[in-house]
Amino acid sequence: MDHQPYTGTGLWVQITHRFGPRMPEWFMAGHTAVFGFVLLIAPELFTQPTWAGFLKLFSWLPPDAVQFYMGVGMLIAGLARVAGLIVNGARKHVTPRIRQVSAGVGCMIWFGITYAFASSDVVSTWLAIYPLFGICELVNIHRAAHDEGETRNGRTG
Amino acid sequence: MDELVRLIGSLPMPALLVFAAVLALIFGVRHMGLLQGLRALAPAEGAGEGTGRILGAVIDNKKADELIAAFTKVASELADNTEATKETGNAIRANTAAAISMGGDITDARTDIRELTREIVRSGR
Repeated sequence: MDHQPYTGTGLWVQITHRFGPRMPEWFMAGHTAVFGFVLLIAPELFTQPTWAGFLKLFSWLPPDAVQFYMGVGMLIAGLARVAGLIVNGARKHVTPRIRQVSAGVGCMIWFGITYAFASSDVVSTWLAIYPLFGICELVNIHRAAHDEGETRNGRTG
Repeated sequence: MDELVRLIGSLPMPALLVFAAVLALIFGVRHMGLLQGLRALAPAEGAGEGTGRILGAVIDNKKADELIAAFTKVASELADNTEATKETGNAIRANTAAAISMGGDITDARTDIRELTREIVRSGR
C-alpha cells in the first residue's frame, strides 16, 4: 500500500478534488479564523451589550483579556483546521480522525458562542447564524465519522 | 488542580449543562456516523467474499443472491447451447464434405457415360 503523500501539482489537484465534499469544513475553518481575526482588530467589541454574555462567561479573566485570548484562540483553531484539511488533501488515504476532532472543536466553539450571546439577553442576528454553524459542525462530524466507518471496511482510500 | 476545581465551580450551572449536552451530542453523532459508515458497505450475506463486497455496495443481499442464481442459470444454458451449436456445425461440415465427394463421383459417372455413348455409336457404324 502506497502511503506517500501527494506533492506539487498532485497535491493541488487532490485538494481541489476533495474540496467539494469538504466544502462546509473549509468554510467553518475560515469562519473560525476570521472571527478570531476580527476580535483582534476590534478591541472594543466586547463592551457592546450584545457581547456582555462573553464577559459574564469568562468572568474570572480581566475584560480586556477575554476578547484577546478568544481572538487568538479562534485564529489558531481556524488556521490549524485549514492545515488539517490540507493534510487531508495531501495524503493518498483520507484522515477522518483529524476532521472529526476539528469539527468537534468547531462545534464546541459555535455552540459556546451561541450560549454566550444568549446569556447577554439581547436578541439579534446571531440567532440566525451561530446555532446553524453548530449544527453544520455536527453534520461535518457525522460525515467524517461515516468516512472512518467506510475506511475501516476498506472501501475508501 | 485546585485552581481548575475553583474555575469550574465559578462557572454558571447552565454553562456546564450546555457544555455537557453539546459534548454528548458530538459523541452521539460521531458514534452514529461511524456505525452507518461501517454498515453502508458491508459484504452481502451468502455471497462469496470477492463478489459480496462489490454487490453489497449497490444492491441488497437478497437481490444479489437472486441475481447471482439467475446469472449462473443463464450461463449454464448458454454453455449447453454453445456445445449443441458446435456439434451442429461439425455435422454440417461433415455433410458438406460428403456432398462435395458425391459431386466428384457424379462428374466421373457422367464422363464414363459419355465414353460409353461414343463406344456404342462407333460400334453401330
